[in-house]
Amino acid sequence: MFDQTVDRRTLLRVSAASAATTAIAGLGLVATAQDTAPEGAAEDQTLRIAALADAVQLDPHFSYGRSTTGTFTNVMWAGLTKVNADLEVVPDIALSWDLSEDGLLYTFHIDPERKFSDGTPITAHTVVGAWNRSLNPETQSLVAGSYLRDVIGAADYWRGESTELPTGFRAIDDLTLEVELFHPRNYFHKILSHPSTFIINPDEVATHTPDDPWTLRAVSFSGPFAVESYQDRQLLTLVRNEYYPTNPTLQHIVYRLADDVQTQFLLYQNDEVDITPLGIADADNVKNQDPTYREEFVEQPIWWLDNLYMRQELAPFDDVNVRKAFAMSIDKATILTAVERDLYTNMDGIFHPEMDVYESGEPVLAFDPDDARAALEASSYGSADALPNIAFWVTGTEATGTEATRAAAMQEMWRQNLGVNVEIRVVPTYEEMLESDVQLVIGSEGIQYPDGSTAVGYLLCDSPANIAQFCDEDFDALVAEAGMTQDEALAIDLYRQAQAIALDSAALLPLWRRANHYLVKPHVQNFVTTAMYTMPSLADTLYISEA
Amino acid sequence: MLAKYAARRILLTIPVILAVIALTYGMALYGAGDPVATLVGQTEARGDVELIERLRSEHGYDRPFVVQYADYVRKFVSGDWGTSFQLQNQSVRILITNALPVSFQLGLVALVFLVGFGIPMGILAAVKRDTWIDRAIVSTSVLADSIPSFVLAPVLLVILVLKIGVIESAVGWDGMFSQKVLLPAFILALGPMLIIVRQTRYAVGEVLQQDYIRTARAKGLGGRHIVFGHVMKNSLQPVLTLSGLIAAYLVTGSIFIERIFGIPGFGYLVVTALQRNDLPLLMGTTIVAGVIVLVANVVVDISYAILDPRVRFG
Repeated sequence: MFDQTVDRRTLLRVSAASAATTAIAGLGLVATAQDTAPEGAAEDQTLRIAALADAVQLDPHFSYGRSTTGTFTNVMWAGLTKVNADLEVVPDIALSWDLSEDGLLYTFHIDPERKFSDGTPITAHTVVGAWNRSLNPETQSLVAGSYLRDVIGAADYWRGESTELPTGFRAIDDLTLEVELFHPRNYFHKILSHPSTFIINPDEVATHTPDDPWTLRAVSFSGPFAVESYQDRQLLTLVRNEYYPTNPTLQHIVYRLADDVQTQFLLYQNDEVDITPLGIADADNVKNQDPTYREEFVEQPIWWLDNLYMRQELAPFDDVNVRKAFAMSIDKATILTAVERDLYTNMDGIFHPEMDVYESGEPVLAFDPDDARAALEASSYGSADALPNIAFWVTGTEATGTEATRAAAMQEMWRQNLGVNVEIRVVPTYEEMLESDVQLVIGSEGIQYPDGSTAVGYLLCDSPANIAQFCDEDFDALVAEAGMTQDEALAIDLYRQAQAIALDSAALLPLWRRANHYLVKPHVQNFVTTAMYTMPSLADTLYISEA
Repeated sequence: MLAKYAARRILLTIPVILAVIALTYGMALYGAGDPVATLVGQTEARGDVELIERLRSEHGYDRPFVVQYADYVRKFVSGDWGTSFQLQNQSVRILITNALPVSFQLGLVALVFLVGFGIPMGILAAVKRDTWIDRAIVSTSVLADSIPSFVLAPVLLVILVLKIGVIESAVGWDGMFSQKVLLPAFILALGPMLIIVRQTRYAVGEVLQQDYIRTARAKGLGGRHIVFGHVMKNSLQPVLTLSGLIAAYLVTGSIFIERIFGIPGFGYLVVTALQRNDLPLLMGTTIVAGVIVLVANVVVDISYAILDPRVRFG
């Protein structure tokens, strides 16, 4: 009554599919894990992972946030493209694609062998159905229309401004999908690695009701694993998708769901899970203090950048010299060590080191108290005494993080280096902060797909996420051109020029990028995690060795 | 007479429930954070004002409060409690009806601990009044009440599971007859234990001073016979009715325990609703919690009247 496992009819269908698969495997027609498992692999290839119950999302079109997509969505679902372990966007359900000379028409060639986990073929018609469902205003996906906004008809349909299905994507035949754009987007194929475009079985979704959600009885999964059973907020058990091309070694993945990081750690200590993420406090303890689990500790910097924003529509930060003064007063190295306990990594620019567009060099807004004071003197205010009241935003809700300590450290740095007393103001929500007159904000920016466009998008003039209130026509023009050109080298150069404009005008001070921390048992082999939260080796080489 | 009283008490709960709905809806909608903005704010679409306004309109949150309230009550009564913003877009009614039995079972086991330990300890403290046994029982109860459950739970988890290993696994839910329920139920019972111990101690102490008890002793009846044959049935009535009120708390107040032990009960839903400003779930859980408390009060009042024939109705 309280565990929402698959019902009897579904169980019979899954069992039939499994039996058929086993029979096929027995005929040697499909390589099984036993054929491909390395020497020393345990007989039971079940991986147990501790995970947040709140992060579970079985429907890819409602999968928001990298924690959810990386931990769950990418394991169960797939799109036309995917991000591999090297953070490159590579073919997935689409084996290849062609792009017209004007950059407006994509032609995707669907893998003829691709099937859902119940054996249902995935065709171009399936893709059309999946995207129509994602964009359907009744579905209420919060992001589908923004990711597919460049496709003709998609955004209008998603916003409910048109009742006509989008004409911008169409199945030419079972294996050919055409996608027509308003304007060229050289990164469009990368967007298709985002879950809002992932392929579900439209026939299965059509049976959904709130009292009987399709996700709790689905049998058609396009990713490397399918849901075998789900006990709400307890256990999510996945079984290998025998039709997935990379042929995972693992047979099952069992997510032990908890909503307390200490409980997750306890499960690991009690040998109830093989992998657990660590909260900040435990990560600090394992990395810097208690060596008990240090051999099993994994740290992975992620594409999550914390920036200091100085809101430009609010005095005194409408003055570029004041912004530079405040930026150059921050000793990031000290904060990273003393406050963030060396768990995060310094960033001097907007682009992450793994991105093609990244270029190392001297930081533009390096810590320099002398230069900071000189900038303040050169400003229209001339001195700290002439500045108006300045407030720094904290939510007051980060119970286990370092928000308060970080704010206090920065406040002290501005006091010591500039002689400015900044007020720390508690505003509980982001929306209230936007409507307030708080001038200094630390915001976090994630990367949704590996491209320079997503790393700068929040600084565009019309971006709703533009906390900095930065608006530069040259910046916007460079970003627009970079997104349209077919010349990859030119695109990279244009993005770098745009970054230079943002940093030279102190639109923001890049602070650091965060990291994910895990403990991984020694018998888990080939564990790989990426800056996009994914664990790509689950789908192929990860295996459990004999104890 | 009793039937009339019961009917009146039940009918009086209706306006109270309507008031609870109005208050909760108002606070959720106009209090800390717009629920739609909160939902959007958790995605890469945060700050998209156009999207937020569109969703508010689609959910009807831009209508006058009275219209929204009347619509919500009408739907609630007909079984449509909305769908959760956060939890797989599932029906709130289904989520709650799946979670409540878990909390009931946890609360029942906790009640067994509460009554099974609290009452005997209270009786012992009363019988051994002003001795070291009495003082030890009362101070232990005070200590147990002083330590918050969210402190005690992780400490006991580490000690009993990891260090000593007397409990193999304590996280998750395998039903009320599994070993996993013992520790969370015990910690849940510790909170109101002090009330039960002290109430029992007081009630038993009062009865022990009565003439008929002195007479029983004079007749040569043994201590055990006096306690079980005379004292308990005359002193435990208020304790049992108090237990009824506590039972409501055990179901609705197990928020921290369920969270820490990963128990998918009602408290877990409440926390999710509060943390993530999930308006439909918040409304559903608040109303159900209110109904549980109201029903418990009515049951206690009626059972009190049944148990004690001397009670008269106004």
